[in-house]
Amino acid sequence: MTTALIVLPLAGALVVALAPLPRRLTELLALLVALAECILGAVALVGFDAGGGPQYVTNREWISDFGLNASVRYHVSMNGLSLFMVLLTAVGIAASIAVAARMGRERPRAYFALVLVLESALVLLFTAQDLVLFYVGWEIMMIPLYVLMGVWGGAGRRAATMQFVVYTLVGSLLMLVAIAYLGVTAGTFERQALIAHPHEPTWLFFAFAAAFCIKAPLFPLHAWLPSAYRESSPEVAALLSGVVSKAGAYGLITFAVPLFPKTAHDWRWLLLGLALAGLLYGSLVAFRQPDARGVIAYSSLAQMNLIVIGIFAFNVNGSTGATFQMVNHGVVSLAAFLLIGLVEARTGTDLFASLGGLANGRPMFSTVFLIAALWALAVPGSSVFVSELYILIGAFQQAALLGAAAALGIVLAAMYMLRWYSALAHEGDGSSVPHGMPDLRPGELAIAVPLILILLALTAYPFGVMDRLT
Amino acid sequence: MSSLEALSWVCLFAPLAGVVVLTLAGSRLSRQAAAWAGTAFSLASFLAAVYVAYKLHHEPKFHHHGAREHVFTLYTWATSGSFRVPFDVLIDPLSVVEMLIVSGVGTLIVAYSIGYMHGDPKERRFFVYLDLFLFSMLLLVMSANFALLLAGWGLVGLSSYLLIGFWHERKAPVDAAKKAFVMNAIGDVGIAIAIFFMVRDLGTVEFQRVFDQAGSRWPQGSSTANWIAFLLLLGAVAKSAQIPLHTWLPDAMEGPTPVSALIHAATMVTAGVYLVARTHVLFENAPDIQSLVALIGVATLLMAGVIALVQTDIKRIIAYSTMSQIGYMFAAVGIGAYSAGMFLLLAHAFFKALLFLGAGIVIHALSGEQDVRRMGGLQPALRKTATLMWIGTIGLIGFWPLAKDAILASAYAKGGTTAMIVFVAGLVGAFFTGVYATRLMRLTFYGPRSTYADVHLHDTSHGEAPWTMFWTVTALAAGTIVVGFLAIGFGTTDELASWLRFVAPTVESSVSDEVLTTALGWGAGLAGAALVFWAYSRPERLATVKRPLRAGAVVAENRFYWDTAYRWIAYLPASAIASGLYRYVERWIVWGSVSVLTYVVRGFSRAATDAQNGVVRLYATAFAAGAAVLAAYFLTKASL
Amino acid sequence: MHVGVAWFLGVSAVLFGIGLFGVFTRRSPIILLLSVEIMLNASNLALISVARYWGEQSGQVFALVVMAVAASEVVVGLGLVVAMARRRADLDVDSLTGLRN
Repeated sequence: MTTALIVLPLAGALVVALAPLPRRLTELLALLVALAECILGAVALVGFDAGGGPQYVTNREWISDFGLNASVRYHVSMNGLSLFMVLLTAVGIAASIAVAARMGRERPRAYFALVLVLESALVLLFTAQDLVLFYVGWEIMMIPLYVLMGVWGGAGRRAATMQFVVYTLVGSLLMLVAIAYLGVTAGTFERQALIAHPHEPTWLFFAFAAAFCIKAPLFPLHAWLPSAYRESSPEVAALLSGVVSKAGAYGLITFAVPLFPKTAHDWRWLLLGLALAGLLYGSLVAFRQPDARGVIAYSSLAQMNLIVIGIFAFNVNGSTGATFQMVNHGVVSLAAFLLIGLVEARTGTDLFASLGGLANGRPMFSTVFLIAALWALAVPGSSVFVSELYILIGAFQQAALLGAAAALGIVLAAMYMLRWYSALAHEGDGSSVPHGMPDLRPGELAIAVPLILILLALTAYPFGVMDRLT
Repeated sequence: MSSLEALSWVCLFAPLAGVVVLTLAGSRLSRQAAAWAGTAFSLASFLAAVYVAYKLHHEPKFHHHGAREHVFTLYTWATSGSFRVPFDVLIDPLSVVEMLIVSGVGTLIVAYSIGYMHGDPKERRFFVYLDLFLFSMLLLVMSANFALLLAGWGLVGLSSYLLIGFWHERKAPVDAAKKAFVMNAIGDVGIAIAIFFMVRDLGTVEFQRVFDQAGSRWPQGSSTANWIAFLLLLGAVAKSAQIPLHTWLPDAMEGPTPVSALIHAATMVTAGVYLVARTHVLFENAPDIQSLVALIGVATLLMAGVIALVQTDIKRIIAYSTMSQIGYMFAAVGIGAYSAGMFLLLAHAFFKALLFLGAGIVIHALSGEQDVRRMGGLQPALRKTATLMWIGTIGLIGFWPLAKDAILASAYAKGGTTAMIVFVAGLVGAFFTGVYATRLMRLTFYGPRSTYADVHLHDTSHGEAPWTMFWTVTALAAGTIVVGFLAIGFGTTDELASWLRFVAPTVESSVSDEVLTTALGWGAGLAGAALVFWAYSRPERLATVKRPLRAGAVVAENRFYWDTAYRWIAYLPASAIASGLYRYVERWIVWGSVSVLTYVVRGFSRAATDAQNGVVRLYATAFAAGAAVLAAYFLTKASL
Repeated sequence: MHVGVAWFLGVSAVLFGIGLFGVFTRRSPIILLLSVEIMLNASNLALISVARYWGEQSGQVFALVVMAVAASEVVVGLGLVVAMARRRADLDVDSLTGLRN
């Protein structure tokens, strides 16, 4: 099952890249592959046994005797977190392909093939149980991102890609060194085996954490983030903030913390302090951004730091909240960036100064934007509220002041998200809004409505997800 | 599932069903049909609430804690393995009273809106939001745990945001809506942190379990007990527009009038009082904080009463009067007179909704004018409306229902410093109430008709308003009179107090106390009313009254400078910090660091690029040199 | 005088040096190829002589592999030279910098 989820998009990518199909058929084929992946993911969800441990396991020798008496295994399986991350990936890729197809991208065969390769790599890294295999997924994930950002991005894409490449490569090379060291000294790359025999030089933890914290990103390692989110095409920005950032948090939860529990616990105050600073810092900076993407970019920074707080609270409430928040924030930021993309496609800008009035006579637009904004600000009662509540409870159990300070983020989130929504939707039409700009068309609704429905379903029944995450 | 349980769920979910149906139907439903459908769903909720109240009333008389108390669980909403939040509702006398107010007054106001919003292009959306509000408010008052209460608490804030900013083409409503939401978010955080304490120390947020364990886990007056009560109070203060988080309520009058009546008078803003009554165990566990509740109430009732004296916008006068009345309720629950506070809450829901909707008819008749200085002399044209609004005014001043007098009697009977402050301030407040309530009526309906009104007044010869508007206001007037009989006092059976005895007790007072306090309260109110009619009868009298108060009037007209203070203390510094962080820390330090890194990498790559000059023989030389170095290394190593 | 393995290796080293000198100093691609061939044969000589010295076959096998590689290399190399000659007159490797960075 897991292997099928990895191979399907890869095979799809090959066909899309090689088959000399016209543009429309290429887009359709890519979309079909992505939807098939969603269906496959749904089948996995239905068959998943809550509380049944790792499932859909494949465990085979891949590279025997690595020359270091440690063999590399093709070992993939899914626990609750992997499952929901894979589902998030599938949904995010499908929605992104749909948006890209609507807008039309140059050289569609290369574009969609790269997106599908990205999907395959993400699924691999979310399911890999072998460090080398995980690293392979991690690096393959980066390659399509570099190309998608550097070739199809906006005007400042070269500088943005350069920063992104340099920053993330530094992190992942540190992780590579740590993986090699672990393999040589422990004689295995298997996650489970390494957890059973904790290995404790402090630098190992930080080598892993560096890669993950840059990707998430943890404050102050976010310098690549604003330009990457601004210069990418909207669907790539959506994937970066919705799915790829979750790979960083996933790495912390699955590898960095369990492999080095003692170091992680000893140094938790460093990470908690940075994450708290990042939460408040990101929220404050988001409040002064002049453009719609900037607000979502910095709010994404704040939210990811909140997730890090949940992870390093070292208790079950914090970790459950963090993992559930990964799902929630993934869907919310996908929706937010894709919706901004739809606005940009009509107005050519995302600057607040020249936007506004989207709600005037455009009920669909205002409704989907409103829901995205409300979930992003964690309106009480929403699924994001549930996950934030659990994270903050976890933080409060770790230290009362930490929880109380992080709770301030809720007020700040209300401030910047309402500003975002009002600037886009309220008062008169902005100068860049074409006269009589139409409401969302059925094709666009078909992209937005499923994401909204997912959010509503998560809100009505968070237990369905949370029960599988614990 | 018993019929009680089933109908409880119907009561809660009927408005939500309305939201779903109206949203999905969209423009397939005509505007008029959508309005009626929205009303039908809230009516269904009200009928279910009536049934629940009837069933509960016919359960065996209760003599102990825990009787007439039902917790119904639908499913587990959220879990982390160790800490679960069930989706459950608590049906007990207190929540039933609230359910009846919310769905009953709610239905009347939704029905009123059919006429009021007729012809608005976003009419359907308005009814979706109203139904969303009713669902949220019912969730707030019915939930059996703090997490769900907080969900309802936030969702009413959201509905309030949506409805205040309903006419979002203009800037003022949008700003008012944002202000309301952010100030309420501060309160939400307060309740959230209180929840953190409960989960940390008790591992549960269920009302009953928290109340049962609170006393033993947190000793009375301990710092944790104080913190929890204080944080809950923070939520209550924000939601109920009490000092210091009150400045959003007057601005919220930018919303349509039915919204002001429903959310910002009858139901949502009184949620803070409900919260204190519901969690009175926690407040009694922190006596200092409970006194603080009473003192905040006193401060607000006096300040808002003074500001109401000088307002000129008819809706803002009523808004400040609402703040002042909620101040009374806070004072009541702050001295432990919970059922007296709930009685004023109940009566206030009727008479204040009545006043708002009556004002709505006046505004409607004057094509949207809200300034009382441009009204005057409307009584002949709006005869029935004036009569109905007089009923509301009598309720507001406190002649009937005897709600304010019940609070004064409780304060008098209770004794002690706090209660005495409440008593004295309550009498002063009653005088202010008499003045501003009568001034409103005097300026609107009597005296010479203004030139503006001459020009703009609609022809009212065949009906003062659409029948849906008129009929609902009449029903509210009837309700105001009828609820008065629930708690007459003077030794008669206090129906409300005995109904609420175990969930929200009161301070017993003797008949002689009640005669005294009622006489004083009526006297203060009458004095205020008489002063208004005396002063406004001749301009020179008015000038005589106003002259010595000029300095105070300036302070009151500037609303005691709260908004100015917030601007300088909170908004401007926060903006400056945010801008500063972005301009200096983000641009120079964070982005600078990555620029340095990029620069170093680029330097290396440039050096490497220069070597790739394409001269094959140079490559060969480099290759040979490398091989020679390696050979030299291995040879020396072998010889060693 | 016993001609030991050292003599063979010496000749091989001299041949290798000649080839290397040719690669460093000449510009004609044909001469360059010849020089590379000389170096390869020098290594062949070394392989075979050491194989004989140790009484083992693997060195000889390697030499055969090197010959095969050398043959194919010459084919490719000469093919390139012919292609160059067709496109442009001067056969000078130093001017072949079209692929630099």
